[in-house]
Formats: sequence, structure tokens, C-alpha cells
Amino acid sequence: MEVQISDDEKLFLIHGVESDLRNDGRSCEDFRPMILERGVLSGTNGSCRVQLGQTTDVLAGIKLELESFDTIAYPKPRQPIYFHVDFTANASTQFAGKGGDQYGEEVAAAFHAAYSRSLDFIPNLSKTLVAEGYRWKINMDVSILQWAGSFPDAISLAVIGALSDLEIPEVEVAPDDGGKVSVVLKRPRHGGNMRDEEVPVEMWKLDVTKCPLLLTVSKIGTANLVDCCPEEESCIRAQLLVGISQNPEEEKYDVTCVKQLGGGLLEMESVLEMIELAQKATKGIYEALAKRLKTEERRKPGHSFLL
Amino acid sequence: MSYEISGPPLISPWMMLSMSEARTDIDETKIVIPGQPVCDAPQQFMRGHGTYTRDGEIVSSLSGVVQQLNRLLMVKTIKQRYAGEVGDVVVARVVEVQSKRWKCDVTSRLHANLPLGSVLLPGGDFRRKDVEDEEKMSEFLKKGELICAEVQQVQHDGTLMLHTRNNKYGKLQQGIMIKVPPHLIKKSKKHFHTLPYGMAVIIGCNGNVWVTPSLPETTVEEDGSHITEFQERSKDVAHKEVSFENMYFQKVPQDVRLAMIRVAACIRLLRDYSIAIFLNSLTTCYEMSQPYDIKELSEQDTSSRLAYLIAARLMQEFSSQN
Repeated sequence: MEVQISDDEKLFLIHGVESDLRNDGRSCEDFRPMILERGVLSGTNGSCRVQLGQTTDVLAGIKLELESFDTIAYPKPRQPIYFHVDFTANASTQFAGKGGDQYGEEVAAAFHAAYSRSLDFIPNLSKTLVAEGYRWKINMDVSILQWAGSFPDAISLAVIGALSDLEIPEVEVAPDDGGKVSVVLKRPRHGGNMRDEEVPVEMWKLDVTKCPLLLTVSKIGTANLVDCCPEEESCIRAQLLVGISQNPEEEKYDVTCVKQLGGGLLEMESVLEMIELAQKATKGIYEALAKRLKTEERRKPGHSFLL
Repeated sequence: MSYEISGPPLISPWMMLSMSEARTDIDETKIVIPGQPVCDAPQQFMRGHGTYTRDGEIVSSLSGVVQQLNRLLMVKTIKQRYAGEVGDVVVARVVEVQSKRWKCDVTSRLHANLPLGSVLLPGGDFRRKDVEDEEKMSEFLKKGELICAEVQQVQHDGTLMLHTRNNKYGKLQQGIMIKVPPHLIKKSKKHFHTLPYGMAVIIGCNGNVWVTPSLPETTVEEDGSHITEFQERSKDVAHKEVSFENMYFQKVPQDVRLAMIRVAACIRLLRDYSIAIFLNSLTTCYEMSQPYDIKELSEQDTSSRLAYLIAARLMQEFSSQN
């Protein structure tokens, strides 16, 4: 969403930000109120919708695919999560037609890089390799519905939410003709007269406590801030995308990637200060996220879209 | 440092609509949907906006309320684009500088025009606008700047002609602008309000509300013409009394800034819960929001609770006046 504001409005905004008082009353380190809801799309295996401050709106959905691959071509285990980010024309008119494709590919590439070591930080992800040459491929599709600043933050929250909502079926592997295997969904029989198809499949979920967050940190005047709204984004000097993952046992927050979004010059000290701010913010967000994931009450899928 | 991740709201803001003053003039028995006949005896009435004839009947083409003016029937919707009337005060943003006029965005169906001859230039309005003025238009008002103007004329296609021939109108400087749906702005006599909290508010009829440290003030020149504070300061710069930085980069004092941000948060709260915006509702909202932090006002539970109380208080005051 591009907003045009006059030079005097920008002056007022910049002075305010430098005194730690933003136009909506927040301090430089505060995020807008976030809404996270899982299980919104009934046609997917896992889904999540995140709204930042009632304007930035992001929807993530996961579809599972049982893929057979050549073990000689891919001998080492690969991470199974594939991202596709779609900037819809709903978000901004500049994304109409093919306008959003390039931007979407850039963002998807950033997430691929951040999740390249997902086999390390999601402990039970290796279970997606069900047999020699067979694995569950996790196709993560993210759609930007409304765009009003800080979309990588919203996307990373939605991705974690969708991964925590994902239910992967348990499978039984039985040998088949020609050295191959047949993969069958596991339906545990508890006795009784139920037909095979009616017995519910056993599911398992991923442990997402260590998944990384990608935060945007911006520089306006001499101050560093997180979560800028569109008016603030028109005043920024430079913006960094910082990827941080947490290590709860050791209470550490590791920086996994730092990328500059857009133009602008930054001094080395500023970069270090901005990374520090991102680490501070991540701690608070992880706690709020863990609390929300634990205490969420499920509603009817898609109900909140009507409100 | 506060981080809050919550679930979607349980109450949607439109449920507050029934308690707001925006709906006091709507008679529920006359609500129609597209295709619904508007009256029983179509021969007696003339059909106006929002209706068409079908099989001899006057039928509505919009969802709204039927309004009757003598023998004219028309359908008026609740939410619609701002359609200007002569005498309205609007807050507009310049989108284009053309020869001899500025095109301004008033969030109406068409951009409004501000002709060069209708502005008050430095030195008073005794001056005729010449070729030099035409070339220097961008120096006075450029693309993206905000102005406060009055509607002088409405053309037949709906384009508004604006004017700033008064020292209370003109270019707006430091402040915060908040966009509000135009149906929440009540028509009132005064649009410029200096609030008792150290700042001022301009409630534009087109839905743009401007929160500013102070309204344009006036001083009288030696030759009797009025100039605005901005023009006075530019004279000081010309006479090298005040440095360039001090004139343009004046920092708003912290307490005024806090008051402005609180009022802006109040306006957003009233807008989200569809409560009409006028002087009384603003002051009520400001006073009732005092116990809360400004950033709490944008959170769901605080804002919904507060909006309910404000709407109740306003309804009470309204019914006690009648």
C-alpha cells in the first residue's frame, strides 16, 4: 500500500520516532496487536491466518504430497518444506497480473534460505522420510491479502502457525513387487464393526518451538524501529530483514540471515544496533506466540473471514 | 516492549452501529433492497436518485433508505462516496499541479479543482495573479501536500471547485491525518476546533480529520491585509531574523505531541466502532480514555469496552437533550 504524505507530516513523524513516540502511541520496539488463527482453510492439511494491526493480512496453507524420488540422484536427506509466496492484486495494485511474481520469488527465496536447516531445528521432521525413495513433501503456500508494512514478520508467524497446525498421517510401509514398497495410511483398529475407510487415520504433528522468525527492522532518522506502518515506511532511510531462531535450552537467539530490503546506506554500528533490536523483539514475540499456540480455542474454519 | 498475539475478535465493530448517532435519522420501516418497490402509488411521485421504473412501478436500485421530499422519492445509501456541497470545509491532498490550477484528492468520485485565482497568496489578495505566479505554483503547493479549503461550487458532473480565500484555510503543516468514512461526519457549523488539551482538530466534511498542534493564526500587516503565521515566518527568514532550519524544522513540544497522538487514537477508535465524529464525541472519548495507555486503545478488549461506554454516554446525552 503506497501512501503519500507531505513533507511536514513526515517531519512530525520523524521527530516523534526519534523521541520514541510513534504516531499511534507505540514505542519503537512495540509491535501492532497481532491476530493469529489456525485451521482457517478446511481444504488444506494445515493453515494459519495472521493479521498485524488490522491491516497487514497473510494467509498460509499447507498441502502434503507423497513424493517418490530417485535415491541415487538425492542420496542425502533434503529439507521437505517448499515455499511459494503470492502477492495478490488485493494487496496493492502494483501486484496486478505478473507484477507480484518477482517480489514473491524474492521472499520465497529468503524463506528457503532461513529454513534450509529445518532438519536441525525441527526435531521430528526427519520422520517425513517414510521409506527409501519416498517422502512427504510439505508445500507451503503463502498469500498476502492486505499489505500495510511488515509482511515478512507476518509471513514468518503464519508459517510457524501453519506448521504447528499441520497434521501428517502415519503410514505403514510394506514391501511390494520389484523391490519397491507400498505406502499405506495407518488406521489403528480398535475392534468393533467399523469398515476400513471409516477408521480415522493416526496423525502426528511437528515440533515448531525452534523455527526462525524473519523480522524487518527499519531506520528512521536516528532511531531503529520494528513493525512500520505504511506512513512510517515512506520515511525510512534503510530497512533490514533479520532472521532469528531461538535456542530455548541455551537461552540464545541466533541470527540466521541478514538481508537489506530496498536501498539506503547504513553504518556498521547501525547494523549491529538493528540486529540487537531484532533479537530483543524476537524474545517477546516467541513468548507471545507460544502462549497463543497453547491457549487457542478452535473455531469453525473460515468463520473469522466473515467478521 | 509489548507483544500481543490474540485471536480474532468475538464482537465485530458493526454491532456497535445500532448505538451510534449515525443512525438516529434512519426510519427502519423504509429500508429497501435492490428490486424492491419503493411506494404504493407510483403515479403521485416523481422518481429521484437510486430508483428506476419497471412495469409502471418505482423500484429501488440500491440498498438503502427511502427519503421523501415533497413528491420526490429517492433512495439514500448509508455508506457512499463523499459528494460535496457548497460551503463544506474539506481537507484535501494535492495530486497534480496543472497550469493555473491544482488537482486535489477529496476522496470523492472525481478530483477537486483549486484554481490559482482562488488562493490567498502571500501579500494579501489584492494582487492579480500574473505569469510569474503561474510558474511558481509548485513552490506554493506541490504534489502530496495537504490543504484545508472550502467548496465554492459544485459542477454539473460532480467536480468540486475549492477556494482558500481566507486565512483560516490554506496549506497544512505538521500534524496527523486520519481517514474516516464520510458518513460518520455530522454536518455542523464549526469545523475548526481548538481542544482544551493544547492542540486543534479540523474535521473535514469529506472524512479527512486533521490533528494539528495549532490552527493557522493570523496577524495584521501594516497595509491592513491579513497574512498567516507561515507567511509571517517566511518574512522573518527573508529578513534573516530566523534561520531556515528553525523555521521549517520546528519540533512540536512533547506534551502537545502526546495530546495529539491520544486524540488521533480516539478518532481511530470512534471510526472502527462506527461512532459519529464531532466535537462532543471527541472530548468524551478523550476523557474516558485517560486511564488507559495510548497504545492500549488499539487493542481489541480495551477498545471494544471503551467504545461501548462512549456510545452509551453519547446516547444518554442525546436523549437528555430531547
